[in-house]
Amino acid sequence: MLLSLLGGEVFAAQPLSGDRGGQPITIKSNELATDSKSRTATFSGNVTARQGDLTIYADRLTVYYLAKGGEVEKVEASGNVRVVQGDRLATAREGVYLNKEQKIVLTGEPKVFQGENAVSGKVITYYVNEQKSVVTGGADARVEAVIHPKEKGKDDGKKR
Amino acid sequence: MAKINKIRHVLATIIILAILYLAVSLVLKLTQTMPQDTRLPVLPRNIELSLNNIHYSEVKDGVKKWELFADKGEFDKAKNVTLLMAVRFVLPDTGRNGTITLTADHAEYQNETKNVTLSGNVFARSDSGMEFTTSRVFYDASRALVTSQDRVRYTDGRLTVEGIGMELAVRTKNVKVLRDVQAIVTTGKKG
Repeated sequence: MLLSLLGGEVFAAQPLSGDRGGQPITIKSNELATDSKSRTATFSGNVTARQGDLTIYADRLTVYYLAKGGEVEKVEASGNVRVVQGDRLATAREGVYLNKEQKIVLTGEPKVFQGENAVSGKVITYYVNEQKSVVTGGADARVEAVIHPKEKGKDDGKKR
Repeated sequence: MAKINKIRHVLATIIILAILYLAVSLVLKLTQTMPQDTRLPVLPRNIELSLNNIHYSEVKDGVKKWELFADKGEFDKAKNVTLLMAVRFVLPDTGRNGTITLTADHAEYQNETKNVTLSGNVFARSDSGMEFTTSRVFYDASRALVTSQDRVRYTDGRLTVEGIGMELAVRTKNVKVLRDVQAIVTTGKKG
């Protein structure tokens, strides 16, 4: 089952944040280990990674570099993964940030929250530039959404 | 006849005075050009030997493990340590990242263990472009491991890291930064 949450009241699409892929990633952690053979840099212990307005928190974070040109291919986060962008929060056990595609694939009981609204499933793919989520369910983890509709009166009041 | 003798005496006196003048001038000139003190400077009591332009290397099974160059060195016999100044420490290519060259103001070479401590403006660079700076590193010869307990700034390609404490495995060229890591990873195409 595939549920795409585009626009609407739950996860409203917002303007693109520009070329996020070209922005530097700043990372803080307790420890770093590089592996020249696998072309990786693994940060561990209270990891915080920021790129623009997107922040990833995790126990462990591994940056993979491409052999040609040394560009960042992907960033793997594991253990208490939390992704924060604006008022959106996504949680999971693991997450993979694909730099070229500008998306984060969350697995391991992934959930996305925005205010009181929440969606969970087997896999959540979060498109960071579009700020939209695609939630995929599975046999053992159906998509569940808890949506709190906005009160009409309040909305009307704001628009005036 | 008496007049002729007088002339001879005068001439003889002039010749003797001229010879004396030349002799004295020669002696004075020689003493001026001679060095004031040709003795070697006295070494401190603990220093057995002072050396210039030093080159050490360790070769194991026909393979060069490292090379150590220094402008000056002093051998401390009691501690079996050679104290080196203006040092270059070269770790040859092991198939990854190429040769790593470390430079420092000072080094202590333990003659028995072959361990080396580099201190003062330690700077390292590999053929592949990896660099780091710190104030002091220790090379453990038995483990082929370079370690530092001090603040380190490390760069490799798109990764720039600052932290405290570091381990560099010479064989694999893998690096660990041990505490308080702050890194910047540049993304996108270079140039």
